[in-house]
Amino acid sequence: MSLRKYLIRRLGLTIVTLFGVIIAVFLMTRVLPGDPVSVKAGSYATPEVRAAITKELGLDKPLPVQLANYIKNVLRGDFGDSTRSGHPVREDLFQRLPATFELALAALFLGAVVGIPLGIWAALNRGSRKDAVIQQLSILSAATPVFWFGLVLIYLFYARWNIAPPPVGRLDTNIDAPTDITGMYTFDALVTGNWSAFSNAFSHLILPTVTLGFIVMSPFIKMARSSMISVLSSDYVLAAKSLGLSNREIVWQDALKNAMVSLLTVGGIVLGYLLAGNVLVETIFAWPGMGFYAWNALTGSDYDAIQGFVLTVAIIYVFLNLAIDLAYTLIDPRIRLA
Amino acid sequence: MIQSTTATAPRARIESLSIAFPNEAGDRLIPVVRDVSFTVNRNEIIGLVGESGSGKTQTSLAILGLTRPPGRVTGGHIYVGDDDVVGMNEAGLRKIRGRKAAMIFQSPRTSLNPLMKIGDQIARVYMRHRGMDKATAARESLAMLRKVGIAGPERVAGSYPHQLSGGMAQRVMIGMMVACGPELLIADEPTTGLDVTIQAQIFELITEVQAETYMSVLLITHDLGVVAETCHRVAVMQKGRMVEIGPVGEIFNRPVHPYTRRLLGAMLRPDRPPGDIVPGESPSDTNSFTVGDRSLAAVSVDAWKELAVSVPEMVEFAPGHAVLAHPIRPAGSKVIA
Amino acid sequence: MASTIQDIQAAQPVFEGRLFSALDSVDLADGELSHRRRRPYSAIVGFKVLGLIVLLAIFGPLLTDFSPTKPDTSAILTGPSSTHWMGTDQYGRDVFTRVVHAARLDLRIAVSITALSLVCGSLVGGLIGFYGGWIELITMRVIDVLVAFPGFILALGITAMLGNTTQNVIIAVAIAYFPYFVRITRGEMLSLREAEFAAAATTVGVKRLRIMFYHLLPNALPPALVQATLTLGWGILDAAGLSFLGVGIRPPTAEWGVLVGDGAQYINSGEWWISVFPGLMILLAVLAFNLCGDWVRDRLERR
Repeated sequence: MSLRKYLIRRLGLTIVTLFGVIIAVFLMTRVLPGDPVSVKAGSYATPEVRAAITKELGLDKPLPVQLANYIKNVLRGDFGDSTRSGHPVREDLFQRLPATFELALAALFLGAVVGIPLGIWAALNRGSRKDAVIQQLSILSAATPVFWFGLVLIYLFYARWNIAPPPVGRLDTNIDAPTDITGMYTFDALVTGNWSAFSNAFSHLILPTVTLGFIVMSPFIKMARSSMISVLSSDYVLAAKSLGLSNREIVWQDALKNAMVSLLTVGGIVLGYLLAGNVLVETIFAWPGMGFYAWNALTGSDYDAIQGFVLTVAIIYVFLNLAIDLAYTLIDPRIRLA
Repeated sequence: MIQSTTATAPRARIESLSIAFPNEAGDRLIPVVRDVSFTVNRNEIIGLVGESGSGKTQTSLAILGLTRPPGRVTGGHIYVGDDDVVGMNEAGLRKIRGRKAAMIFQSPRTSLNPLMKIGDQIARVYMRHRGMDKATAARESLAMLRKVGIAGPERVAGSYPHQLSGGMAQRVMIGMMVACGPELLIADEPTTGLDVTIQAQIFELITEVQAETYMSVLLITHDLGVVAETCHRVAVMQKGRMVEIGPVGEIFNRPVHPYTRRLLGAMLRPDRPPGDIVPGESPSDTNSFTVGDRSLAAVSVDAWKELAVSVPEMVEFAPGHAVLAHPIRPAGSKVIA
Repeated sequence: MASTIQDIQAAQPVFEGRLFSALDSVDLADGELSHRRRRPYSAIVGFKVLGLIVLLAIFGPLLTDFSPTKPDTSAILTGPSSTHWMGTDQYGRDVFTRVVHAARLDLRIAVSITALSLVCGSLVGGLIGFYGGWIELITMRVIDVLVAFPGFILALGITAMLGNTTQNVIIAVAIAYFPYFVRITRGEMLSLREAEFAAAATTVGVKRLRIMFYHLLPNALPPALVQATLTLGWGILDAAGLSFLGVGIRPPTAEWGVLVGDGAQYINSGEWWISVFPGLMILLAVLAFNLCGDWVRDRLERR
């Protein structure tokens, strides 16, 4: 099918899915047990107060009406209010987005920069001891519980060897945050030349990044290796060899180019993982991002916040997957020009 | 050693080539080519026929040192020019590939890099083999596209492989190959899957190029009709062994090996009733004959197991025409193991 | 005069050189390694470790005299020693005992999650693939929505709403993996639907549903089994992660994730054993499942 048709279809699907997501999140809170009224009202509220709160929360209306209201609110950007902070959930999340983003990007970068070359190298040395070791590393990293690994790193590098800063937040308390450009401290500090803030922010960023990055490395290694292997045994690589082209030319122009295309699919898996794993890692390191916010919401029974978080994560995930699909059409001429 | 009638140095000389692959479990080597010997002479088109699995493709890949691991050459020599390709290192092989010998494959569209424009792919061959710069190479690529008969070369040069038809893609491959200027072209079933009319065009192109450059062609095919039309000599392989080789006319008229006869019998010919090799004879697994004072039997390879036979050798049946046959000992005599 | 092959046969049996060896293959000496020769070391290791863990789960509690839940104020926060192999936690409970008790629970959780999602997912996938139509359309859109959430987050949301019990954790995580199985079996069913033997069975008059169950579903299962091997490992990671956060299984129940969570606050002060040992068990269990899964996958894909 033509590109335009494909795009339209894809966008249509995305919109349908988004609606489905909103409905799903709504159902999660309304249909499942858990009583937001009691939470808000407290245990000593009189029936009148409870009735008032029920009305306020819109829970007295029939379910479809509640759903419609919910959708309306979401589309307006109203995700409810946090019972702990008192602020709109959307504001809370938005405030914490850069921190999560910074961590996720750093981990993605680390995982890719380490994982892809390892995978390619393993493919080029297929069957050798190096290949086996790399494969084992990838298996190991995939089996490692991220929360445990974070704790181990904290124990070794902070408690035991005193190299890393205390795993609380993004900066030491005595350092001021750099000028806010993106909200990502390392980036902002670097761009404004604020060296002390940069080095401090960076030192706080390292351990959580390595924690996530180590796990995330695995799909990159696996995909890089398998896609490189299949490319290396392809007809066009054989033909290129038969024409006497050098190994370097073949690896760069034929093998890598084609292998990279399939690495995009890894992007989807990894991003999903990062969005999820963030909760665990941020909690351990008290990293003030969306994940930590969610954990606090969970322990504080802040239902609107939990709901808002889940919804936000899902929306981000849907759009990221859409972006990856679109990127595919750009990179692979077979799809673009079909 | 069977020599062709042209008495100049052969382009390629294969001696007792054996290739094997390990099995799935990795504990046994399974031979796919056994003790194959033949030469490819200057300015000749030699056909290599046999069914799939007969080892023809493996033989040709080995000439360029492209045997895919874990398979390997387990014995013999392949002389391309003066150098023995067997056991040569990558650097040496790279000098031979393209320059001395080049190959075109069965499936031209998958033999091209799907993410690179056609023009760029031809150009890089020029840059590597003729040392041209980018601009010159681009120009020469266009010229080459025109030469191989592609209409609208500019458009094709800017296209990607999946946008080409099979026939066009094969022309592009031939173009890339000619750009290298090899002395020997190995064409592995270059027209499988193509229309009959396109097939004819491709072969025309190959013969044209051959005539211009005095390039030798090793044509691998299972289509005897094509062999009859285009080749000077033909070699027949069965189950990894070379069973017969000789000038096309000779082989087609006087096939000796039972397998060759079976192949020819399966081919419809306008001058013979279908199924007949020689009127009156039915295809069998053996064919006995005498050469001088020796008694020999050519036996189909799949019958070797049942019939305990002696070690076969290539025997010259007629000038230039050799057949894999087993010496027959007179009844009663013993042979030492 | 030319003799025939019969003459040859009448003659004494002839030299069978290496050239012939039954036209067959040649044995490779041990030294000759081939690319494809895969010594299943990893699989062996995987199975051994898994076996150990299962044994530990079954017999472990018999190995210790300590109680997994009763506090012992005399032995608070002691490091690994000959009495307490994995040390004690902040309540004086023996960590090894807790770890071993947790093994039972975690293995049970892994199997439950996998069984639930495999069975439900495959059934649904098979049914909608077989019947098609509206049901298939709607179900697939529902699946799309489920998949729109990162799995862990979905499980997180569901558990948060359902409440912190083991059962809810199992259900929540199973729901997160359910879509994979639906898609797999539906896909297989779609292609098998056209298959010849289904058509053959219909002509003999076998009821359609029977065809699906006895002929089609078994063929559609191998890819689902491959996914199941992955779910075993990932399921533990998810369940433990949820419990670690405090959203899943709650203390004082002994579950590996809970145990890691128990010790998290003591990492900074240096009492590492409370968290490290249980986490190590998670790693080993997931590793074992993954290695065995790889082997199963290899075998299934080779068919």
